[in-house]
Amino acid sequence: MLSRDIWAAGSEILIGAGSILVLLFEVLARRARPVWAYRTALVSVAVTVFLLAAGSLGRSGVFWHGGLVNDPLSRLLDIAAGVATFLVLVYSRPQLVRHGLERAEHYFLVLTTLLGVLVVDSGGSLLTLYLGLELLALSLYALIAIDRRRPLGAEAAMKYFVLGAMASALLLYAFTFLYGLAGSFRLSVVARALAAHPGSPLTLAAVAFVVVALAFKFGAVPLHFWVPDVYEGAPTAVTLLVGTVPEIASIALFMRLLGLGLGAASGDWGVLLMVASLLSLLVGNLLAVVQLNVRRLLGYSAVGHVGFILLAFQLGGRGGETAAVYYTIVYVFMSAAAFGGLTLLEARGEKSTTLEDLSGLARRDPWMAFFLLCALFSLAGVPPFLGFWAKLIVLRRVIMAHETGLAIFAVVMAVVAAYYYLRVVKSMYFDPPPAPGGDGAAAAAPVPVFSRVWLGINALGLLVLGILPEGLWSACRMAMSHLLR
Amino acid sequence: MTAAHLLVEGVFGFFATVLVISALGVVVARNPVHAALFLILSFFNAAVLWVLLGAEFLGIVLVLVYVGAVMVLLLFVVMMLDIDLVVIRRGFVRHAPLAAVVALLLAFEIGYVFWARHLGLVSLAPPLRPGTLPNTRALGLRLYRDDLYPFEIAGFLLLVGVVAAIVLTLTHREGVRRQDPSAQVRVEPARRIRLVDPFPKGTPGKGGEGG
Repeated sequence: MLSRDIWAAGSEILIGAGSILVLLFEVLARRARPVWAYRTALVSVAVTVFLLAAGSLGRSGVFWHGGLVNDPLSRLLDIAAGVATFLVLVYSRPQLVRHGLERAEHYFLVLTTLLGVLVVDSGGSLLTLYLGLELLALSLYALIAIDRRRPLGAEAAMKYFVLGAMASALLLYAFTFLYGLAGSFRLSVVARALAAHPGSPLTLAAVAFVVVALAFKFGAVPLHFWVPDVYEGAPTAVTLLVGTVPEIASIALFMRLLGLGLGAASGDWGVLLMVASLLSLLVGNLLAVVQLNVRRLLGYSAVGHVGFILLAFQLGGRGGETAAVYYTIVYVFMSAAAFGGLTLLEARGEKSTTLEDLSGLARRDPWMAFFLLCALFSLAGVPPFLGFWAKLIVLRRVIMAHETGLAIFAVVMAVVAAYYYLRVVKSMYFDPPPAPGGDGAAAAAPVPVFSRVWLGINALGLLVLGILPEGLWSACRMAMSHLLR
Repeated sequence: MTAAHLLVEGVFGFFATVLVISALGVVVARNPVHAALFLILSFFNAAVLWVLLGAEFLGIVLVLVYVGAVMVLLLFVVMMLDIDLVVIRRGFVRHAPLAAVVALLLAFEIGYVFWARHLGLVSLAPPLRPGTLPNTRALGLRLYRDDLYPFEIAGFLLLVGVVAAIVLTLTHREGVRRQDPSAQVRVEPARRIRLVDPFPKGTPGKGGEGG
């Protein structure tokens, strides 16, 4: 019984053991460069992803009295989070080394972030969902503030920490209501209790608090204020992490908590989520237009993408939820390519803060410019790329639900988004490079081939999967058709 | 009512009375140190009440954690701060009505719990009867067997907290002279003391040439 439960948590145990090993290397070989910590982290993530994909880890079923639920959805999200973390590690190391930020603790915190995501992905009870979320958030707070020479980072971390603590408190408050209703932490029991007491005032209060907390974690309007600040203030390698891996935990939280746990109250949270999604689409995309800082631009555009995800999710039903999960996974890899490109530019010794820093990049480094172009075209939803299919599937769902007005609004906002993404591309390809002699072109160091190759795979993958989109979509549909709780 | 029952009631009454009196003492005592000592007394009495209810583990933890750690810390704080009693008591009359309202509200809330059934709450399983399973054992089985998974995640959470605190505060500044214990341990006498012969052989006589 116990050993069966322990094996079921195999992927979490592997990543946890990897993070402990990273810390041990730091203690035992402090004088060596933290390259061993990096290698350990990389290997443990790669092994976990491989075993998950091969089906040796994460046997399906409900374990730990409902605390751990392994189903195809959790496996899909685990694999996506693992691959994204792998890419994040590969892209961020050259930049960390160049800026003197490489420490074993950095890799430890990246691994614990992944651990939190894995726990949330397969969380079957309020308790494990909350603990996974806190593990994820706590690691991110520390990572954002890790570069103490950067006051912006400390400010962003402080904002994120205070607001995040408040969101966690709201979530806990909602959980007390749910526990009071159901008498159990298990999501299946909570779902049954909600179905038995429709319209109870406690349910309404719990739903409201849960939606507020989740909207904060995802960065949806009106709780999006931390997003641009964190994207700008954190070290680039950490922005890369914040913009990718936690999104998977967010969609998992939406699926588990709202879709499966509070599914009976979907009428209540559907309205709230629709308002949040429309506001996110509007505010995120319009504010992104006026940004001159590339990272703030990508931050606001992330808010806009969350609007798309919530638009699909609030329709309710498996179809909308599947579209939301698909969009999230696609977004994570587009975001990884875009921020990965910026991170590697910084590793070359260039700046990648403003649009002007990027101008003329195509002449200085045609391959890097091409990779960034792939990522940005995909984010904008230009047809041969993967991002196009994500948007198309969401819009098809919305139209199938007879919400043509919403669909038109979303398309208009996607056009606005295309404008600011293409402006970055224009700056890279058609604007003259900044005048030489500045500190930008002073010391262009070569980027390790390993990182460049992976960025190439990531960016070209967006193109190839966009031409052959069937695989990922059917994987999502498969995952969503066998949900457990 | 059996004699044993009467005994339990009597013990409960005694400790409950002392608990209430010492709680009053916490509020009323003029000297903050006395108030802290009264608080320790009330913790002990509350712990006894818990043991009477069959929650012996919680009773022990209350004494160990609160009396053993928290209160000692609090006493340190109280003794290190220079507290002016007159300043603290100033404005008592002015704030008394507000305090009374808060107290009434609290009393109402506590009382309201008893009528809370119509909110749609499921009545939870009654707590374990004393004697069926020792409280410590029941808690241990729950924490280390049934809920081992969340327990371990909570452990990781604390580890991340420790690492984060160290990463954000510990600096290795260059040019600071600090001890390196492993270098100190590894030192050998030969590298610290050099025996010098003040009068090497072959030199001219004692006192040197100029002597």
